[in-house]
Formats: sequence, C-alpha cells, structure tokens
Amino acid sequence: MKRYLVLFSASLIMGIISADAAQSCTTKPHVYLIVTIVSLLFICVFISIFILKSRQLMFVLLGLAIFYAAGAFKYIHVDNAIVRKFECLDGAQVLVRGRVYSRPEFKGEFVRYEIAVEEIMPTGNQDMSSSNDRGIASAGNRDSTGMGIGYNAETNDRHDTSSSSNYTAGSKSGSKPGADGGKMLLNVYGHDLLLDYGTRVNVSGVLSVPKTRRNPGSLDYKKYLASFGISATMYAKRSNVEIENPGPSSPIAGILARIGGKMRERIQDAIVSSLPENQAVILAAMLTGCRDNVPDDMEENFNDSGLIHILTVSGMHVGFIILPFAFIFKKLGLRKQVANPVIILILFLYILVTGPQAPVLRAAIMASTVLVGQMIRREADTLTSISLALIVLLLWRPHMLFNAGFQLSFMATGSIVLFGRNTKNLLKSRRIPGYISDALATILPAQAGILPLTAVHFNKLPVISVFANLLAAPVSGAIIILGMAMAVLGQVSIHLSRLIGYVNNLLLSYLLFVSEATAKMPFSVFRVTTPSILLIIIYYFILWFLLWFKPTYKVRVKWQYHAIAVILVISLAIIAGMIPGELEVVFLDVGEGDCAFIKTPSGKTLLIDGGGKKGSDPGSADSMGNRTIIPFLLEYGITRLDAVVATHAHDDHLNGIIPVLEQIKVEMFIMPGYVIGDEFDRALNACARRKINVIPVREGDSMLLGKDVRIEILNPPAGAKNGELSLNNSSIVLILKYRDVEILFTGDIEGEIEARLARSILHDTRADVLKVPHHGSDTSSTPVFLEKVHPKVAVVSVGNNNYGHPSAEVMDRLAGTGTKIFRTDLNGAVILGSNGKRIRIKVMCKDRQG
Amino acid sequence: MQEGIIKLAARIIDYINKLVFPPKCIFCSELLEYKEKLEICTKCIGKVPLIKDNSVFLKSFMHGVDAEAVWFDGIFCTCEYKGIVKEAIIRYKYFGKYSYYRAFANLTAQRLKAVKNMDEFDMVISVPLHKRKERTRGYNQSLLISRELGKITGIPDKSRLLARIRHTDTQSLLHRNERYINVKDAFTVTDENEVEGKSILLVDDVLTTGYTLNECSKVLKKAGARQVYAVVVAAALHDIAQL
Repeated sequence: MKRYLVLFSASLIMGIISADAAQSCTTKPHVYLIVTIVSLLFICVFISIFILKSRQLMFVLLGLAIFYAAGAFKYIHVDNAIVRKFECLDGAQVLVRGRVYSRPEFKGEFVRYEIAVEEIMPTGNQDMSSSNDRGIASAGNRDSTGMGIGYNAETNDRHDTSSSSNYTAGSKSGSKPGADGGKMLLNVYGHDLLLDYGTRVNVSGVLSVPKTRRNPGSLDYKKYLASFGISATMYAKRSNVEIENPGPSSPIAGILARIGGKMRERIQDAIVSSLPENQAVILAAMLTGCRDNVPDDMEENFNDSGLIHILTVSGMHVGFIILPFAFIFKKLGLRKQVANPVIILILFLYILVTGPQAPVLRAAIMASTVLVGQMIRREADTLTSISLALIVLLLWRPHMLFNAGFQLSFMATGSIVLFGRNTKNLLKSRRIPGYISDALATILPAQAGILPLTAVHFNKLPVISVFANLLAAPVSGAIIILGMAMAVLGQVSIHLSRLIGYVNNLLLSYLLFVSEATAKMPFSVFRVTTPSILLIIIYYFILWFLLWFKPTYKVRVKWQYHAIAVILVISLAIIAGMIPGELEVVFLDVGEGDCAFIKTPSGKTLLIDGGGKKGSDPGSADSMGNRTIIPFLLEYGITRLDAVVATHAHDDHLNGIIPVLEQIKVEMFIMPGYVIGDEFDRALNACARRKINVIPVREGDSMLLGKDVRIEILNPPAGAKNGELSLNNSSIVLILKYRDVEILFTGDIEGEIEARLARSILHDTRADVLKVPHHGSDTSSTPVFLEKVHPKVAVVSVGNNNYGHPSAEVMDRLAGTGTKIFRTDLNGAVILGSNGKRIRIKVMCKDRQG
Repeated sequence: MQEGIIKLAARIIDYINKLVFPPKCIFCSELLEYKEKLEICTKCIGKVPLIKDNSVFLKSFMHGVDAEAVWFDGIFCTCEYKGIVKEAIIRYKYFGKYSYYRAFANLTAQRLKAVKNMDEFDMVISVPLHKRKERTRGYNQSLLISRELGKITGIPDKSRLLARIRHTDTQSLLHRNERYINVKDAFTVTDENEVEGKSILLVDDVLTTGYTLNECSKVLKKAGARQVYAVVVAAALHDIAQL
C-alpha cells in the first residue's frame, strides 16, 4: 500500500468520528482529545524509532497521527468554538449583522438564506440593554415587538435565564460582542424579499440553535446544518430585515458568487422558456443543482427509482464543462500550464452556479488534481484523488462526514473506482452485450456501494435502481450536453435554444417516464430497518473481498469455504437474535403530545399513542408519524407491531398513529371502549383497510405480552355511561408489569379519574415509573394520586405549547416526593431498560437536562 | 545554510508531489516506493531489453550511407525498441502518458553515465517537433526527456537552439528512402554563436534509420559544433539489421 493519502484520509475520518464520540460521551472532549493525540504521537514515534527502525515508516505513522489530530481538532475545537458562541445566545432576541451567503431558496412560505454572521448583539432583554449601548442596539430594539411570528416563543422562555447570564459573562471578559464567524440560516416570511449574494443585512429576531437528535432514528438537525457550516437559525418578518445600503464593497468571492447567481438565473430563464414545465424543471435541476422547483412527487419518483443522482451536479457535469474548454485551448495552442489554471477557474465558477454541494466539490477537486498533474507532468491516481478530495472537504468542514449526500457521493465514486474494472471482467465472461456490461460495470458497483447508506439514511432499498439506471444512463449524458448547449445558445437567441429543446424534450420526457414508471412498479422499493454497524461492516467486507481482493490477487476459493462463511454469518445472526433481551420502554419526544414504545424481553412490541400536531394532516410527508415515529421504528428494527394503543382521540396522541396503521404491519389496534363520537373514524378506516383487529378495552381487561409481561387496563371505567366522560377522561390508563417493575401509562386523565384510581381497591396503582398524566398539566397529577402511585421516576411527555404544560406546581409536587423527573422537551427521547428488577434510564440529549 | 533550506524545501515539495501523484511503474503501473528514483519496478527492470554494445548502430548506419554523410560523432542507445519498452513508448508518444519522461530520462542517464564522461558535454539539445505536431500532441516527447536528462546530469538544456522549419510527415509511416527526403533540410540552428565550438548531446526518443538525428547533427556541425553525440531511449534493432 503506497497510496499514503488513502491511509491519511482514513485516519482523518477516524479522527472526526472519535472526536464526535468524545463529544457525545464526555463533557470535556478537549482533555480526551489531547490525551489521545499526544499518546498516539508518542506511540507512533516510539514504534518507528525503536521497533521498526524505519524512517519512512516513521513519516507515515506521523502523517497518520497528524491527520487524525487535524480532523479531531478542527471538529472539536474550531467548529465547536463557533457553535458555542451561538449557543450562548440561543433563544435570545438579537440583532445580526452579516452578509447573504447563498442564493434564495424557497421553502414553503419562506425564503431562506444563509447569512455569514459578522456581528451579533442581544437586544431583547431589558437587563441586557446596559451591556450594549452601541448605536445598533437601538435599531434592534425598535423591532423587538416584531418577533411575534410565534415560532420562537417557547425557545425564548426556556433559555432566557441561561442565555442572559452567559452573555454577560462573555461581555465582561471584553471579547468581541457576541458571536462572530459562523453562519446562520435565515427564514424570511413571504416570497417578496430577494437578496443578492454578498448583500449586507441587519436582521433582528430570535436566534435559535438547531436541535440535536431528539429520538432514535430521527434527523440530527444540528449536525445536518453543521455539515453546511450553519450553527443557528432565525425566523424573521420582511420588516425585520434591513438591507445596508449602499453596501460596502464586497470581497472578490462575493462578486464572483454574484456572477454565478446571475448565470444561474440566465440558464434557468433560457431553459424555462424553451421547454414544457416539467421537463424544464428537471433540466434546470440537472444543470444548476437547484432543486427548489422540482415538485415533491417528482423528486420522490427519482428517489425511489434510485435516479436521484441524475438531479445532482457531480462528476459527469464537471467532465462536460472541462472537455469543450480543454479542446478549444488545445486547438488554440495554449500550453497546459496556461490553459489548465483557466479551466480550474471556470470549474470553480461553475461551483458558484451550483452552490458548494459535496458531489460537485468532490468532482471538481478530483478533476483539478488531474489538471494540475498535466501541468507538472504527473499522472493522477484516481483513488488518491478521491482521498485528496475527502481530505480537503473534511478539513474545510468536518461535519460534512455525517451528511448523507457527502457519504453517498464518495461511496459511489469510490466503489466504481475500486470495483468497476473487476465487475467488468466478471460480466465479460457472461454473455451480456458489450454496451450493457459497460453500463453495468459502473451501475452495479455504485449501487452496491451505497446500498447500506440508503438503508441507514432513508430506510429504503431501491431494488429497481439497477434496472432504472440502465434505462436512464444512455440519455442522461446527452441531456446534459444538449442542456448546456441550450443554456449557452439561449443567451444568444432563444430560438436556437428552443430548437435544441425539441430534441431534449424527447429525452427528458423519456427520463421522466423511466423514473415514474420504475418508481411506481410493484416491489420497486423495499422499506428496511436500519442495519447495525456490524452488519454494515460485514457487508462491506464481503463486497471488498469478492469484487476487489479476490479478482485482484486471483485468489481461488473453494465453494465449500464460501458455504462455511455464509453459514457462519447466518448462525451468528441467529445467535444474536436469540440472546434474551430486556424490557425496553421508549418515551419519544413528539413535541406536545404522547408517544411511548414498548418492547418486551420476548420481542413483543407495543406502541402507545403517536403524538402529532394539532389539526395537521397525519398523512403528509412532514407529519409526526412519517417524520418521527416510523423512522424510529425502523431504526429499532421494527417492521411489525403486536399492538398499537390509542389512549384517546386527541390529535396529539392519535395523529401519529395513523401512518403507522397505514404503513406498518400491525396485529391489533387497541382503543378505549368508550367512544364519544366519530373521533376514531380515520384510524378505524385504516384498520378496516389493513385488516387490523380492533379491540375496545375498558377497566378490568388485561393482556399477556409474552412471558412475564402483563398489561392491565384501569380506565375507561367499566360502567361509564354515554356523555359522562370528557375525551381526556376517557383515556386508556394501563399498567405494564414485568416481574417487579411496574410502569403506569395514564394518557390525558384529569383529577376525577385520578381520584377514582386512587380510591380503587380493585387495582394496585403503585408504579415505579409514571407517565405523568396530561403532559404535566395542573388539572392532573393530584397529590392524592401521586401519593397512591408513588413513582420513583416520572416521565413528562411535553413540548412547545400555549397551555403552560408542564405546570410548575406539578413539577414541584413530583420533586417533593423524591421522584426523579424526565422531560421529553429537555431530554429528548427517554429510554428505559429493565431486567425486571432494576431500571436503567438513558436520554437522547444530555446537554439539555433540566 | 540557505542552500540547505532550498534543498529541504525541494524535498518536501517532492514528497507532497509523490503523495498526491503516487509514482507508478511505467511498464506495469505497480505503485512504487517513494525512494525509488527510476519509476520502474524491480520486476520490470529485468524485462527491459537493454543494449550492451552501442557501436553496432554507428557501423550499420555508416554502412548504408557515405562516410562523409555521417555527421554525428557517436550514438548511444539505452534499450531496444521492442517488448515492454515499445509498448511504453507508444503510450508515451501517442496516448498522452507524458509522465513517462522521467523514467526514460533516468534510465538513459544511468546507462549513459556508465560509458561516457558527462563533463565533456556543454549542452543538451532535443530533436525539435514542429509546432503543429506539438500542439496536437500537447507536448514534445524528446524535449521532456532532454530537459530531465539535463537536470539529472547538470548539463544545461538548450533545445531552443535547434528548430524545425518544415513540417514533415511522421517518419515511422514512411518507407526508408522517403524518410531521407522527408527530413532533408527540415532543421535549422537559431543562434550559431551559441553552438560554435560546443560539444552537444542530441536527444531523441526512438532511433529507426538515424536520418533525423543525422540531419540535426548536420546543421549543428555546420553551425560550428565541435562534437555532436546522439542519445536515444530506444533503437529499433530490427530495422537496422535489415540495412
């Protein structure tokens, strides 16, 4: 192995991963890191000097240590220093001064910009005004009433105390005012504010730091934004954005980016005016990488058919940009030393058109390596160029490592480079026509390489993708070439562009047809649970062995050995599956709402409520069920639920259940045996369609969930008459008993039912864990009830709301009895594990502990 | 001190170069150790058809032409134009593998040093390529080698002193008799003062008939060069044997 850069890039990745692990495990990642890095360096030097006695090896080991350290250091120290500055001001009313650093992006009713923050001043709180008697402060205060869009009300009260004290501490030390450096995502209400790249703006609003992962399987929004270099978000009204005019001269990058923006607009204009709407939108996306205008269902089709990479600007585009220029310059007789820097410049101008997305950056860096190689008369090595691109991008923005697009791009290219030739050789011996085996030699390794990634990130396996790509591959290149010709000629005459458009329209229509037809085909996409790390490693090892190691070194393996390997892996999986589990209960963070998931030691699964936003459509892609509950279930490896319980029919309990009933295999649907009106209709319809048993329950019912686990229903009362109970009070109350451990789920019951339960002699309502009734409302958790239940642990399932949940009085009452309180709004998901005697509790978000 | 820093910087740059563009054997693309100077792996170096006795070329060349028509004083060929060398040179000249020049120059220098005292040469000159040809190819294969050879041996490269004034057809596509006419009067010396009384090492990639080298030597000698010694990477022994 003499591709040292490949080793170094691997070391860099390890550095970032370990830094990330250190950060989530300890509160002092710095200490941990310095210790590891120093010891690593020491070990490296020691090994190479005293044991191996090789100077070259010493340099290699040193290089490994340096790249490891660089990745970790950049991740923890540099990037997080910026993040921490923003965190101090989380939820505070601030005035941000900065530059627009992106093109306008239309998201729903908002326009979205990245703002490169230059200065940031807190303005909202009275006690702070003394600390910033600068001129700008008054300008900000003027708008302090204008924060009433309502999104941030909750973050405000939650973080007020901490942010103000932190800030004053910061200003005392005499440092710069607030955070500088870093980027902020600005959402401006309405579509009428269009800002040029580089425009300097003053925005006032409530700063909010994105949330980390709240539930297993859901998106880590903080990390996601960090992969774009963004550390904070803000919502603002049009009137709160003030354009500084005339803006001071912007740096060259700003001017270039503005040119890029103008070019993109002109390209889009030319294309939109020479093609039908759908085709134009797709072509514009293919050329500029801007997918805002692509309708959701169309994008979904491309996703499901595994063709989404066609809408991503990447290597193919870069190639098509370079080739014509290289040809022209050669004809002009320019030397490579003159021509190639110009081409590289053009390439990066193109990136300004598309925006700095990982695939195009990767391709541009790889292409630049080749071009520089031509200048200094050295030959580039593809694998090394990929590593170089990886190193450059990760040193620039280490958080990119966790971005799905980044991973897919590198994995696909890497797989093609590593496995492409061997795949081709394998296919050659089969009787497949040449052009098909050529296409397959890139499609197969790319798809094989990204398979685990799509399973991890999207819980999907687009099995149709090889077929779809085979159909789409011949046209995608032609479409881009014709599209580029249209974009260029369209600047001269729109008629020329239209003329080419006639041809391109055919190709684009074909592409659209392929994506739609393959996506809609039965069994085109499989929904899969998130594979474990071990499984992924085994998969990649097998892939590497079969497609690289074996053919490269011409290793012959007897089929018996293959059989043994297969049996070994399968038996390992079976053994792993047979290890008895323990009781696991997860209280998900579904905002203001309830959701709990139960897995018994024998593997029975139960979902109690599903959260959901009041009045929202449960079927939409953004709904609680689709965004949070189903990804959570798939992350936990659940494709089948033994029972789904809806405690009552309020949106914040029932809404998220609907997609589960519609999409996941459910054995039975348990609902209260006391129905007021038609509130359960949608759920019942879904059950009827999917042939799910509906079981209405009342007090006295009980159910065994495998061995040792028993569920008893305590409410609604057996003898309740029509009109007697409110919806909240009709909630199912159930107690889960596993050996010595009891967990009480209470839905939204209020005082009167609590009193009834406390008086009840039929049931023992004592429990170790209490799901606090009604999100901690003061209508519930009466002293008599708490005294009866006497929980050791209380879980409050609560989020942003206007009802004052959880009530401070209730919290005090619980704390007063010595109960340990967990809150989903502070802790994220609360995860309980029990062996029947002891209970262990984990929370998703450590840093937000109350 | 300053020299030391420059040397260190050069070494670091070299390492970075090799890191980003890992050196590979020009014959089998095997990755090489960084300290490997030749860019040829140990397996392939054994397969290179090196030429032991160089006098054969001059003799056979003179055999075909009149004695006074031979203008160079000597000719040195590193290896035979066959097998892996032939394949590599074809890739080098026609398939854009420009990076091979280092290996060829190093190999040639290594062999040449063994038989010739390099101090006796004042300059290295490569057989010029016509502008049009260089444009389509993107590089002048002989110039790359001569420059590198000059760098290795410490002799200045003065290839600009020799120019091609007439576009000629590719020699290898022509018959033997046509080749002679093809290259006749195709070259000129741009600055005779600099050539006057100098000892010159003339570099080309492949030797087949020797007409090109002879023609170049002729103009150099006529411009007053004291000695012209030709050196090529590979010689087509097969062609020469036919003479």
